[in-house]
Amino acid sequence: MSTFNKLLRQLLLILVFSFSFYAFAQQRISGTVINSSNKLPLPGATVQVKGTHRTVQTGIDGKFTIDASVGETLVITSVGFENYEVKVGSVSQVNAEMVSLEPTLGEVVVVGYGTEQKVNLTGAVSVLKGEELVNRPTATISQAMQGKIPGVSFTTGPYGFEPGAALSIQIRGQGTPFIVVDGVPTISLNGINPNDVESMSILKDAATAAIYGARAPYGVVLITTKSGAANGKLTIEYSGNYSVIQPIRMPHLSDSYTAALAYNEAAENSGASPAYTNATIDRILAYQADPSLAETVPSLSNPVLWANNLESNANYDWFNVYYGDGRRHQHNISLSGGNKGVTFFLSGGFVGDGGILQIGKDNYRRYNANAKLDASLTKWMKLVVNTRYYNTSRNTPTLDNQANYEGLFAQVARTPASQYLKSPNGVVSIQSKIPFIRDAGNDNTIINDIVQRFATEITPLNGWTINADFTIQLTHKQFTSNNFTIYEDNVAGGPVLQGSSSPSFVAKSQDLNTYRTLNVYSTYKFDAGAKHHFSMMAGYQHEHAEFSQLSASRNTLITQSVPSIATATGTTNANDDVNNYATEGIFSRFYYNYDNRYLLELNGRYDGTYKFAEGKRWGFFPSISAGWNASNENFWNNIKPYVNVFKIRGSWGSLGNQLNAAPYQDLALLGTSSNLQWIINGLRPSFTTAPNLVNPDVTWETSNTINLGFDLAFLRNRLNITTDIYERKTFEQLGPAQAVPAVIGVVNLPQSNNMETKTKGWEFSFTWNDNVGKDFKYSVTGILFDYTTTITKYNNPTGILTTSYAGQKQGEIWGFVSNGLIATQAEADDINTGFIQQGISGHLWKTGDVRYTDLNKDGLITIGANTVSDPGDQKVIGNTTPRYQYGLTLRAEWKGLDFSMFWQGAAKRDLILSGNMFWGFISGNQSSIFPGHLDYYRDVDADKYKGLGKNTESYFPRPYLDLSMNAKNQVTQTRYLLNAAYARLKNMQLGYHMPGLILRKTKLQNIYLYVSGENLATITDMPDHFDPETANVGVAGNGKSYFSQSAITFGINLRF
Amino acid sequence: MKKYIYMVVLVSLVACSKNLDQPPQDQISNSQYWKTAQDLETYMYQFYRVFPHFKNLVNIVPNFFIGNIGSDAVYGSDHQVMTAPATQLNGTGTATTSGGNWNWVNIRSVNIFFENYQKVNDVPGNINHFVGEAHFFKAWLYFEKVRLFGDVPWYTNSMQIDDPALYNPRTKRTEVVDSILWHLDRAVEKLKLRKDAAGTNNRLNKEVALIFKSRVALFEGSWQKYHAGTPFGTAGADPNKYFQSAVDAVTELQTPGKYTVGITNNGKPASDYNSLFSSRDLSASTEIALWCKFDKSQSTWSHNFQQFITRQTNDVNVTYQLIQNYLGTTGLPYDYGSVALTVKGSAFLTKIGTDCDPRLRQVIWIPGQTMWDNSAGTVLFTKPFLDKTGNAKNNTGFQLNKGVDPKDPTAGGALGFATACETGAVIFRYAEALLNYAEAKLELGQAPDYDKSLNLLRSRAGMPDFSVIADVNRLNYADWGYAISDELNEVRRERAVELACEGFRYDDWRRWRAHNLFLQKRPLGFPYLASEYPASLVVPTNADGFVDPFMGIIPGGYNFIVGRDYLESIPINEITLNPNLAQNPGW
Repeated sequence: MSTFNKLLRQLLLILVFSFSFYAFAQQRISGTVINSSNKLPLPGATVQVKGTHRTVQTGIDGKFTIDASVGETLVITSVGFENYEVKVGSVSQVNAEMVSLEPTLGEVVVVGYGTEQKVNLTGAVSVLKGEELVNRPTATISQAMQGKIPGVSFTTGPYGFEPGAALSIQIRGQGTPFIVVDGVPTISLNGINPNDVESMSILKDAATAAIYGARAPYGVVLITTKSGAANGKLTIEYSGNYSVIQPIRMPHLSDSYTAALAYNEAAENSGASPAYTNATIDRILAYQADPSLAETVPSLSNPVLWANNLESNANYDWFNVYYGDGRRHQHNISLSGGNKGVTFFLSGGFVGDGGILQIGKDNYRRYNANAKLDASLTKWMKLVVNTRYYNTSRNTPTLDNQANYEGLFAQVARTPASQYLKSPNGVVSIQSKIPFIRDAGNDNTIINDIVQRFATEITPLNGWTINADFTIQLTHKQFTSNNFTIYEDNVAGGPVLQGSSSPSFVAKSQDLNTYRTLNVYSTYKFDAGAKHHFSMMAGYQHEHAEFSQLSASRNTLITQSVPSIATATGTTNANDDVNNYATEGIFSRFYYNYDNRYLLELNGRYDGTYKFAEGKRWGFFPSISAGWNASNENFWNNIKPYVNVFKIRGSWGSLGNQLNAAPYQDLALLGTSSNLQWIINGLRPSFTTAPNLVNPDVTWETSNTINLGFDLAFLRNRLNITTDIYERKTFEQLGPAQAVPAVIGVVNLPQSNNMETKTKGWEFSFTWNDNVGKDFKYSVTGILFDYTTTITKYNNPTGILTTSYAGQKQGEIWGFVSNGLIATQAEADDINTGFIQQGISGHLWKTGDVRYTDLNKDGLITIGANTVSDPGDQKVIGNTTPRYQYGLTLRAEWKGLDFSMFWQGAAKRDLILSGNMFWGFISGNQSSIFPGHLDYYRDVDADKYKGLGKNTESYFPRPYLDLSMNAKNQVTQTRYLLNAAYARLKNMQLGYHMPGLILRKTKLQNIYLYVSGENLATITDMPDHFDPETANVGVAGNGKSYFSQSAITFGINLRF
Repeated sequence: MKKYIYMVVLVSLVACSKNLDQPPQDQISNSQYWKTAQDLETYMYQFYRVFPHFKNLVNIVPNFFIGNIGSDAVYGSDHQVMTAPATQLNGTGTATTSGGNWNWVNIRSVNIFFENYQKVNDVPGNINHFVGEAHFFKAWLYFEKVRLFGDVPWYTNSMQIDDPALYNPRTKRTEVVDSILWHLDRAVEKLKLRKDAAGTNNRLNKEVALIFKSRVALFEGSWQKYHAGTPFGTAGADPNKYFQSAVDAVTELQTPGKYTVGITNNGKPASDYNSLFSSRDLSASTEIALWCKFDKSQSTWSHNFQQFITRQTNDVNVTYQLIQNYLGTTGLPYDYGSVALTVKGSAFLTKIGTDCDPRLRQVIWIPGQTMWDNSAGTVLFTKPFLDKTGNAKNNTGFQLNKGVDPKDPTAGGALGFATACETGAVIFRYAEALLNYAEAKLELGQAPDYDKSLNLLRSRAGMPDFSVIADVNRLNYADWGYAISDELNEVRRERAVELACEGFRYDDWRRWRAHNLFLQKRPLGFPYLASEYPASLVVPTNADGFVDPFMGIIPGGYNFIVGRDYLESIPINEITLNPNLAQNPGW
């Protein structure tokens, strides 16, 4: 009330003043400038009389006075807001509501069980607006979020950037955060349509996450979806884009002749006979000269069949055969609107990702639908009904049941260039893997997910609200695997059955997860006098889930065109999987704000989980945070024109974690398996195995986080800076019980609350917003963050290096220090006769093998006792944790045109890669020869059938076609430590808003056209055929995952 | 204040809530188990996975499809080699860091059976067989440890994480072996006879336990005898006690009318021996005491064996050192060296295939034999695959065919690289017991009854009866490094021939301390005839014209480290964790 009175008094005063000057042509105009979104005064806005030099700025209270004549125009500008123009009329009072262009400190931020003004936040919260996520050609929302939020890093799953790939998210280097959409916990971001997102809040410190207690040990991502606006109008929006995608940093095979020479050299190094016979090499040469010749001949070992692999003579770059251009498209449509009583938002979306695989089916598509209805039933009761639905479908090749999806990448990479594709009869070879991938059937996973939420807000008294919501989520997953029989041809042209693909079979499973959650909470806000603002909240949450799976498979399909269990004739195998889940908790919050200067918040949550034994189930997790808006102090007024905002925030909080704990560790449960690897009485019986070891004391992990943050704005709010530093200590973390002798006979020891870690980090973000002249606006946004995690306590009394140890930095790489390649035979002789490198390998050491540095000066290269105190000649040679991750966004707008550019990367990272994609040579049938692998050591001349000529200053060591011989050189060591730092142009976009002139002729309010490019450039020292984002992932080994892609996208947004 | 009272009430209500009681719905706890004899049977099934066969060769290359038939090449033997010299023979091993064969999961599992089985309330007749299986497997699992590591800690119970027994030192070797034999005696007592066991010879039975007992006892007797006085010697050694135990086990097996044992002899010396290893069904053979059956329709329970001994070799190559053990058809030593001076290449194979023990033709390919006769056509063997590459390459000229069935649908790779072969795997056969008996009897200084033992094997092969002969060429292939009687030498020869390429050789040379067979020597192949192969093919041969595959790789021969390589290293990590555990000699 008092503010209103004050305002009224001032208005009256102004009026009096105005009248007194009315006699003059130039009158004194006064007014207030406020932010339209939160109705708060907007300080530092510029008020100018158009065409003159008469300029003033608004004060802290948003007020200004200026002299102007009737008929002149006032232009009010403020960075981040649309310009406001008003003609001076007879009234000398101007009240301007400025419409925000960009998020600023004035915005309202969604936090756990409520909202807060950003200016009054005390914890570490980052906000990402929905606009940042749209118009990106990524299939999933997580890919669009990467690099936009300080402290949040993203990594691909084991399959890399497969169609529909969801990145995993880590806040401050911890595990997967808790994701809440409109108050409802969600397992994955994958089903969320980026176009439905109004905003995201990322709660990073313990104080902001504490209200979610048990579920949120690693921070929270809160997503608020769009609602209709109560403006009495219907708005229809359409957005769509179409992308052409291409693999980037994809390897290529050396031609078959070069590869054959290299294979033969490696075979000779291993003491084996040539991998390619002279006759085969002659055929390869003839074929290369005349590709119309046959790609293969009858096999030497069985002339009825065709020769394969190193015996055939084709010349294929299998990567080019398998991977190429792909298409991806997205369409979204929404209807929204409403009036004072009811608003609605309806949307539908479609994403189709055809992937880059040229052979077989490997694709993803998703449909989304979202309906949200907000109704004010009475003055004191609101109701929200929200239905979200998605349907995704993912197809992958089954690979003849020989391998899982990852087999695709492994098989293509190990197929030699000389393998034939088509036999002289014109039939595709099995060893080209094309029948495996194209004809052997597909795995299909369809997920149907529906979330129905009912929420109500009751306001019994002014300042008191009661919220209750109940949500039910049904997730149904349907998996079908069709496994068909495949054939190639023999020399006579008859079919040859691929035995492993017979019998054909079909496997299916159906999962249903039913999840229910109830939240009830109540908030009471009151003021004591003008300056003391209080708020209190308390609530209860309960969740319960039931999961059940039924799976079955059956052999021998009657026909491959109707694959089903009913149309198969073999025995049926069936299995089930049933489990329940439950947590509950109560929580409360106390908030105090003194005059928007001093802020204090207390949170507490008492949580229980089904996972632990009775007596260990419950934990209490409190937090406290405080803030000081120094720039709201009177003494700041002199500095205010330069430093517009200066706020200090500090928090301490404790969080509980049950996510890492497997349930039932207090019970000795027997293992059960079917299909014993032995036949008794004609059948493979089911059998049981020994019960696990138990630990009845497993309970909550606890982590305490201290966070200190600063929010600053400078130069008329054009420069905004937010920075945070934090330290997170985790206690009673679940670790392996301890390193115990193997005679215990248990491989997976029960977890125990015995480990401690410490993460230290900082985050920095800035935004610079400005305009040059009226039409040109630009902004620069940058984020930079870093963290390191150290294990401070670990049950490893001997310090053995096969497991973690106290003092270990997360991601550290132990290895040997290389000392070049052995250059002379004399050097090699010394090593052999002195058994110097016997600790690495017992094989004979030759020139071109790696020489290792004797760090402990004992004359031998060994792993010592393989402990921290006696690591032999090993030491920490690098760290795989990405350091100094950053994102940089540049934007510019000129009239209807806009341009943006977004770079993302990590400034420091080490990687050790292994396997055939890195080394080229592994063994006879697990090698991949790329041009980059040819820089290997050789000290003999080449001839027509062997070798590539001398190259003693090589990067790679002497190659062998034998795993155990290559082991001499392929141990973890400094010579092959890679610098995995990178900078990537993630996105560049050029867009155009059709001018009003054209729009007026249509019913459209807005037409926006854009073209954008994704992953257009990468700066890194990594080998050309490894992508810095996917190099070390791959279930089948390094580099064996779906390649990263570039995309060129054309898009259009329409608004009616 | 009221608010706080309300809070306290709410907290206590929530804490008492039963919402969080969610017991497991698809797992059985230990206290719910161990009720019926069926529970015991279901639990014991898991241990059948320990037997080595085509799909399960413990701790060597997975999917090593030649199974036991090729396992000597991997473990290390003078009779079978691969492209690279075996680590064990060549002294190129390094101490393991962790894991390897030092795996105790199954021993804990069988101890858990002993801790729980008495909870079952049933008559002994219904549970005895399963208890017998547990005794057998405990013995099997510990014998695996003794074979590879020597004396090891003996555990009777499963342990918790804080059990001080985890840090026990090794138990005395004699105590460990005596405990193994004690368990085998219990197994013999409680297991059913082969004819009564559910699953007959796919199931453990008294006969298997007795054969295994003779194996363990013979191994231990010879180890204690021949390693005496070396770093691998046994404190309190008493070799004769164990030789006697081996003899007793076989004598028991020969009790008239009691056990189902015999030597399968259908009067077809050209194929009777081979058919033991090439059949899909061995349930009728009284010789096969235990075998692993394969059936593709049982969730692809099948393998790749026939492909790997026909169209391919999987890099398993028989050596001249084995071949020289085969006697001529007359029962007298055959002078391979003299023959090789004039007859070379394929002709040499043809000649020895005719002149020698018919079992030779059933171990290596002889020109003219049918390799496969099925949907991939009919193909005869003409010459060894010296000129082929990769998995089809042969390095010695003696190309393995033991167990071949040309009619098998997968022979010749007729079904592509397909895991579709159903040839059965022999785990225990009576012939071994007879060889164990003869050897143990001789070691005791007693005369074996050859009519009840080796002559049964000779007769099946169409060879004359066993006789003691003096082979003047013996040092070329049987230079033991110490003197033994001609009779013992001939028994060892018969063992090499009858059990050729079945995975026994690695243990045999180790228990005989016979590194002299190969130390600083190189394995050889057949006498090479260059005109049979393309001129460009380079095959290393020695001065006498024999293929010499390791000539370039180990010019000085095998570099076996005598004071070290008889036992595997205890993983370094285990010694770090338990300083009471002493490392094996030399490591």
